[in-house]
Amino acid sequence: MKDLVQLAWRGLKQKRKLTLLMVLNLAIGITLLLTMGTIVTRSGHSPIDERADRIYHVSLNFMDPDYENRSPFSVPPLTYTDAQSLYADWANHNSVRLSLNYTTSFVIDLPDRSVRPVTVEASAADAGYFDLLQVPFIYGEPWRADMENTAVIVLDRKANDLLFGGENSVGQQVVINNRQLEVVGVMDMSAYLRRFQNMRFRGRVNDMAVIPLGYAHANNIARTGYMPCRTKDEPLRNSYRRDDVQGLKTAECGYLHAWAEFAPHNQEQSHAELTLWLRNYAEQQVTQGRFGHAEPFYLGQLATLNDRMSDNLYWEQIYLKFAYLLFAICLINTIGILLAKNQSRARLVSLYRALGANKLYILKIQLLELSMLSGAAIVLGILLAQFGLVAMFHLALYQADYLADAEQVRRMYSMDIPFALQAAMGIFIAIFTAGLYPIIKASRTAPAAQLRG
Amino acid sequence: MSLKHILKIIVKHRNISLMILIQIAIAVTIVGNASFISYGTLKNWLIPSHLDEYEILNVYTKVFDNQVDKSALIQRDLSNLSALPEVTQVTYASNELVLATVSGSNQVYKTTDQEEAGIENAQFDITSEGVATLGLTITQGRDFYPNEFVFAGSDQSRFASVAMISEALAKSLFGEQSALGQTVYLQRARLPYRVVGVYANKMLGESAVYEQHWYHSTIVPQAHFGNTDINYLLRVKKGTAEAILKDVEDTLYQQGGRIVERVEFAARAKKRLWDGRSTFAFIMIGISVIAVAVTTFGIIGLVSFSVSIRKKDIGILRALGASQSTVLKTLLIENALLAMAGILLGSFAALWLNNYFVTHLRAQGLVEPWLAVLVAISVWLLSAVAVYIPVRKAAKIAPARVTKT
Repeated sequence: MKDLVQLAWRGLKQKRKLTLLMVLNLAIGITLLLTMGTIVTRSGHSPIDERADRIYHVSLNFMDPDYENRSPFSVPPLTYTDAQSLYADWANHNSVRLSLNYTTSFVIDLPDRSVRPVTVEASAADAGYFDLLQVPFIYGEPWRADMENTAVIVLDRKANDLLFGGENSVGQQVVINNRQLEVVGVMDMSAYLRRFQNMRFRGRVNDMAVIPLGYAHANNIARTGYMPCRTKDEPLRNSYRRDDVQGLKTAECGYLHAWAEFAPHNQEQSHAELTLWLRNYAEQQVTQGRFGHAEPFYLGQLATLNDRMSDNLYWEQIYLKFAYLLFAICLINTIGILLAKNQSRARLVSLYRALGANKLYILKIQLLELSMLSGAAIVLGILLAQFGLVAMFHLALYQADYLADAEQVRRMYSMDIPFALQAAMGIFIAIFTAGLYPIIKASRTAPAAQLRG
Repeated sequence: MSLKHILKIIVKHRNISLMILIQIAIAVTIVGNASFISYGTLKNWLIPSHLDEYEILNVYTKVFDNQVDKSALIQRDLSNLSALPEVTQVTYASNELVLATVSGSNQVYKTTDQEEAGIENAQFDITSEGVATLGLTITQGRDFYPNEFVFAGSDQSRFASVAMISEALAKSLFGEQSALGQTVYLQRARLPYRVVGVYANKMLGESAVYEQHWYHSTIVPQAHFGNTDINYLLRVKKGTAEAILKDVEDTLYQQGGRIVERVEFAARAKKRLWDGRSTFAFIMIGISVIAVAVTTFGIIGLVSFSVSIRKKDIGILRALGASQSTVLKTLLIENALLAMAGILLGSFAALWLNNYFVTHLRAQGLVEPWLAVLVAISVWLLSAVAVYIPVRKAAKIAPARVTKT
């Protein structure tokens, strides 16, 4: 074995320029592939991935029959009435946890106006929001389920930094729409790369504050998210967004996102039960002139949505496809360079054969040499991909006109070690396969054939 | 040497030939697509704005305290902002800002007919210094009279009766006819306005630019207040430094109950128009450059190899009386044929991939025939250069070489 390694190493050192060319050539291809692959992979990840196959977005399609559901991300959110019915039957279920939220945005000010106010993207949600996300808390804790109607707020770390300089703000008051709310907790959303709570999956900003759903309804905190209405209610949509919360409660406008998490031991049964409930509910509503659409409900699994999400990164998908093409060129080059290299040392191989090395031995030397080479190229590629990701991160910020949350974007553009290792394995196999042709060709060199002349 | 012989050689060394061919084909696929996608974007990028991009400021603020008297706040802001030494003009802008469509879409119609499809248009609702702030040059008709300006709450339904339009919009609406005295109908409500002036083209509207109506715009001497957005346009002296942005922000924060969301030069808003698509174009160009470089090195490597195993053949040729230039020509023709086949294959692949991107990945890639030809010629020339480097050496092989074995 030691001999083998030694011979392979010597093989590498012959024709150094060609060896270097081969490593560089492969490294360029690997860098691009890893950079683009990482971005696409990371985009579909979140800290609740392990539970993502048990978490479902619940949608009841109250829309008119001609409503066109363009993608799994644009399914209609629940109307107030439907959400109430769902909640009444499922809130106390043993193996299903339910959470409701709607998207809002408001300005947070301090009562003494000691710092400049901050505009935040936020959610109005029930306490189940925190169970669903299992988001870590820096200070304080979520509000209790019985505090749905109280004037409390949970801030994200970023909002807390801006308003309270990162100090523990639990117990402090903030002002929203001229009303005071008490901070009960400060959470850290920085690991949640996409705002999936409202099905938008946006990667540039996440919730900076959460307020109780009951309080939000009672105080008419604006509904700023996706809000489809049936044709008859369409003209009043803007009023339902900002002004008429009482009207909204009976309107056919969807704005509440419901998430159901099934207990692991009862997953299939719960899924079946919920499906049945949704079907029955929709059928029962038909008698009241509702649910005329051919698809009465949708249950969207978070894991599937995550996968679909990365399919939707159109530009990144194009980059990735080009990276594959470029890698193909690099593989062809590798074959070419290996052929050239073997040609130039055909005499040496033929000498080895003359001295008694069999074909298998030659094959082994060359395979080992190729492994060393691809290993070096992969390591170099992974290192260079770090720079590639930094470059892409800066381009992403430029593209967002520096309005995105840099920290959040950076996380999406950072190396994913498990993915890198997996990809490295695939790349290694690809190089190995491509290298077989020239290597087998070399091992077939007849003993002493090249030693004349 | 005849073409038949060259083809025979290609077939004989089919593995290497195939590799060169595939490599060129892939390179053409990448470069072709990248140029289709980038060309459109970069072409748009270069359209002149005719704007004083560093003399106009967009100011976005929101009033979150519903106790604030918005009319009074606007009056105070206007006088505070005018007092800044760098500021020459300032206007409250209740609809669009420069290259920033703040809300909704602004259409212009020729009639009140509900069936008529509107044309995308940038609509600026301004106060008295608005025309000067934007730096408009009136080419036909007149400026607004002071009594034509309307400043009212949005619930009062009071509107101006006149408007000015850009030359480009005048042409779209009225062709060669004069626009002066004509009526245009604005927004979904199709409110009527009489055209009193026409001004030289400027790139003003974000949505209008997206719809490729680069210079469509309308100026209306009306400004409504009532919703939470309170936005301004400012004109500053030429050469004003970036510090003005913070000064404006600080001035506005002197009034409570509001948030200043952004103060920016029009240049920044213009950058935002293209930064998404231009980033895409830049990355595609970057990938193309890498692809071209790797392919060039690849061709050099493969051809060197192919020549090195044919040294004897070349030597024989030379011994039989072929001159250096004949050998060089033969090898170049051989590789030119390969390159051509590769380019042909690559062009088909590029078209197919472009179609895939457009239908599946929402790319905006228009196939420009002349661009495709340009890419083909460039790749062909590049491959010729890449081939020339190793082949030049090969042609120098001495005829005597063949006698060695």
